[in-house]
Amino acid sequence: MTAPRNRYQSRTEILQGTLDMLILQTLQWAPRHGYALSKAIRTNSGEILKVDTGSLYPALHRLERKGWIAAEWKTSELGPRLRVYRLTKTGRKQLVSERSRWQRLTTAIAGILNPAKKAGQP
Amino acid sequence: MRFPIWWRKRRNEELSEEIQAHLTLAEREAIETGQTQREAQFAARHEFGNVGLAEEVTRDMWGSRWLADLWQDVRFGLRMLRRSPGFSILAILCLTLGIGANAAVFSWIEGILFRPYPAVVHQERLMALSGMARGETGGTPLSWPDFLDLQRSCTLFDTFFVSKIMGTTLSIGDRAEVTVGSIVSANYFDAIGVHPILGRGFEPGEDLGRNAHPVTVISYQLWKGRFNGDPQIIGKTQRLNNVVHTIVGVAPEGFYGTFVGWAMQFWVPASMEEIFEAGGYKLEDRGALD
Repeated sequence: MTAPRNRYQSRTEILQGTLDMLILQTLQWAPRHGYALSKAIRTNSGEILKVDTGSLYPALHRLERKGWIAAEWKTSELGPRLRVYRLTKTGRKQLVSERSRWQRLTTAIAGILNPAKKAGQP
Repeated sequence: MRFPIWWRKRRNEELSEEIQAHLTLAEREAIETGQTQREAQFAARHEFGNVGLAEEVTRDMWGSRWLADLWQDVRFGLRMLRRSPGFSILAILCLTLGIGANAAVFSWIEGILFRPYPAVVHQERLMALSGMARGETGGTPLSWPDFLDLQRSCTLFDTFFVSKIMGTTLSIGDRAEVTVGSIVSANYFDAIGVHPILGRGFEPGEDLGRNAHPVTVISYQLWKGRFNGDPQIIGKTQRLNNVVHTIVGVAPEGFYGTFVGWAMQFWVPASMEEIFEAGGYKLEDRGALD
């Protein structure tokens, strides 16, 4: 019991405003249902990022309403019927813009954290 | 088109199913790692957090929450009304009386302040004119010669007319009654755009000459009430203050003259002024303040 608990506690909350991007990114290669999506985000972040399910489903339904992802009910061999989400064309465009926005943001923050490395500065 | 309430119910069920599936999958995985069914169930629930809240917040994303809330409020309201009928009846009664009183006051305001003269056209362009005397506060009445001067020379208004209220004794046959009427200038009916339904209004010049034109236009109510709506009424006579007047016209239904709160029964031209007012003939007296 101790090991999982530690792992759980060391997880970081997802930075506000990045959940949409993470969802879109994770759906980029294959459609997934909600549980698989949260697991994929957790795994791909090296068990660091924890998707709060209380915000995952609202986010999924919001993105669906915006037309960036589409949902479909699928029966699975696992048993329960699953609502599977896939990225739409506009969702793909949105992902590109969110990624570039994120890129600018991290570059800017990196510049502040490491001012000496900035090129062109004396 | 899908009926919104049904549509919403189905989506609610689907959302529950979606979240339940999530919990089932999480639970199953926990069992695979060696936990007991109970532990797994608890862990999955714990990990997920507040299911009800998550569903609530998700529903907000659908964008039609206000509709669902409204529907819920309406049903709740009806249930509460049914539960305490005494209070409901009292509340409904209060609202009924309140709204009724409001409507009454507003129609009263409409009648008194905004459209005080039924059947008169362009009421918003009606102005009351009065004179002012040096050293006196407030307005003073104008004399007939003043009126004639204004009518001749003042270009500010389309027209001027005179209308004065007075009570008189009306005798038809052997029945007499006190009634109320107006002394008016001959252009009265033309100026306010009221056209008699029978006969005519007054003709130019009928307001001139001392007692020269004993003619009268009677109201619709008088025509109906005292003359039984006689279609041959024009040319017949009635006595006003014991002077025989010839009825030349019948005013339209719903026209009551131009004094707020009074229903005129007849109109006579200004030339007959002496008959109705004590103090003699005043139409040639510029100083007469009436």
